[in-house]
Amino acid sequence: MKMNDSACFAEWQHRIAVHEDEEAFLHLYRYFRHRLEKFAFSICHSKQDAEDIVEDVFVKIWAGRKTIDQVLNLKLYLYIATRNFSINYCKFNQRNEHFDPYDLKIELQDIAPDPQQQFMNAELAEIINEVIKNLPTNCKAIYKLVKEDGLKHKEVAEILHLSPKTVENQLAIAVKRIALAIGREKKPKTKKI
Amino acid sequence: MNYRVAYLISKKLSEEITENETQELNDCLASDASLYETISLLEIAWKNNQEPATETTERIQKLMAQLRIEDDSPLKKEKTTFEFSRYRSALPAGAFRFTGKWLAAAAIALIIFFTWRFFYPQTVDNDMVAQRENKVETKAGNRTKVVLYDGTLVWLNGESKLEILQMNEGKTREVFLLGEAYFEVHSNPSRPFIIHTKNTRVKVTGTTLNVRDYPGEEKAETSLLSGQAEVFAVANPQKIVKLLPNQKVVFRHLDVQGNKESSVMPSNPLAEVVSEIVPVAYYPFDSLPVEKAWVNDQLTFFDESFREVANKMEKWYGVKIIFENKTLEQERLNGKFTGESLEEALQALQFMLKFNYLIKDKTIIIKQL
Repeated sequence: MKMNDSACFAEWQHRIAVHEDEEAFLHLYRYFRHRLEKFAFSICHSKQDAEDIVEDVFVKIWAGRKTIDQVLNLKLYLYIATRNFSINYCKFNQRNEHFDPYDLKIELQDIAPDPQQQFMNAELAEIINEVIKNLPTNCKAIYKLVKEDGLKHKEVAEILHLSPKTVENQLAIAVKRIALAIGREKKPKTKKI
Repeated sequence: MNYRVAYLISKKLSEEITENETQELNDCLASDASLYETISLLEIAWKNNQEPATETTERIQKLMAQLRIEDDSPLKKEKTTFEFSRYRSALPAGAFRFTGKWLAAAAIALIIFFTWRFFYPQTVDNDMVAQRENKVETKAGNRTKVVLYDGTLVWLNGESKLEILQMNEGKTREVFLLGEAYFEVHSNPSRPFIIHTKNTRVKVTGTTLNVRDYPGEEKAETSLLSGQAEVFAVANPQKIVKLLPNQKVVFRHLDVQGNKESSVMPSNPLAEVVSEIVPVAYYPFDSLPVEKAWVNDQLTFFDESFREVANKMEKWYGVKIIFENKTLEQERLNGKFTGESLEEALQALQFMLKFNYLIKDKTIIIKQL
């Protein structure tokens, strides 16, 4: 997600709050739905539940549309709302108020090789994907939220109930593992005669 | 690669690297040129994000439909407000019966209000959820609210189940209820709304009412708060009871001797049943009908036996309550709980009645003092 995104949100928030602008609301929905569903899915492990949850989140946003422009960090707000709804909604998390990051079922996007195969060829992509798949669950969750969803360390910390230090630490571990795997691959291979 | 370098790179990738850290990273690069390539590859991998799939119009339409339901809800969402007052007051002596030696003061009923504390972390979020499937179920200790497709609002109490039998088409709107629910039926005179419970049938057109018919309890009741209702017991379909606002019909099972005290509504609904119409009781201080209090997260009982109160508490707190002493079961009680924990509720009851209790996991045993 790019740097000018927060400017977009501010505009949408204003239009929704002041003018009840449904089109702006739908822009918001289109922008976030997919990522929030993946996040909801990681907590409740059901695609159908995840869809329902995100829908409920947006229904709630619309219900509170008059004050939506007072939300300073809309993205964080949406993730936290999704988290809370997911915890409430899904059956086997009913005992806890906080979910256990080890319970998350995270689906990551695979790195795709670039078409010219200049830098990122198929083998390399494969290796990196393998490393990421094998990351410990909490590390994976953090990696996904920062890398794919573009959330800041502090935001991830708040969403997952962790300390920012933990978030940074886990990211470093992820990077280190990927780097080591790339390094092994890059070692010049001895030719067999 | 050592940890510190990985840490610096990860901060760079997430665009949260500080100036000092950038300097440090540059120093590392200066001493190890191979890092350049590694960092490039990592950056490529990092930026390699797919665009989310485009929306289907179907999804958008579904969302917009939910928004309409939300907007058209006839009832403005009530923010539950909690009372911080603590006081007792007297009811007229004729409104209740107390027996014998456990009574502290003969002619005074104690209604005790307590201050709110979050007593049960599993109370479902206060927001309405639009009806999705044909069934809604709650566990003991949970309550939920649903909006049906026709705009009817339903609050479902603990350990209850609502099933939609017919809603979108047909001459009638029909649901099946197990347990307790408070309905605000969307007015539609041409399409009567019929509630089936195990032992009763209720027919309304545009009405607010509370229906309670739990398996294993000795009575089934329907309280009408506004509008009109026709109710009959499955066992006795010819005797249709027409309720006026603020009337409540209670169905009880008659055992062979015609004794009303027999305990449980029979599993065979076609057994002998008698009905009684009583006025809906209101608390004199707020105009809140007793039956509706649970909708506002208040557990109330008005001249009910300890056994009946225990039944309510079982569904409210998700516990089982057993009486060691049968006489205690028959004691009559009045009360209203707003947010008490189970222990606080039991202690409050001990103000009114002398007894002891023992908590074992999810079971409470009520004993003699």
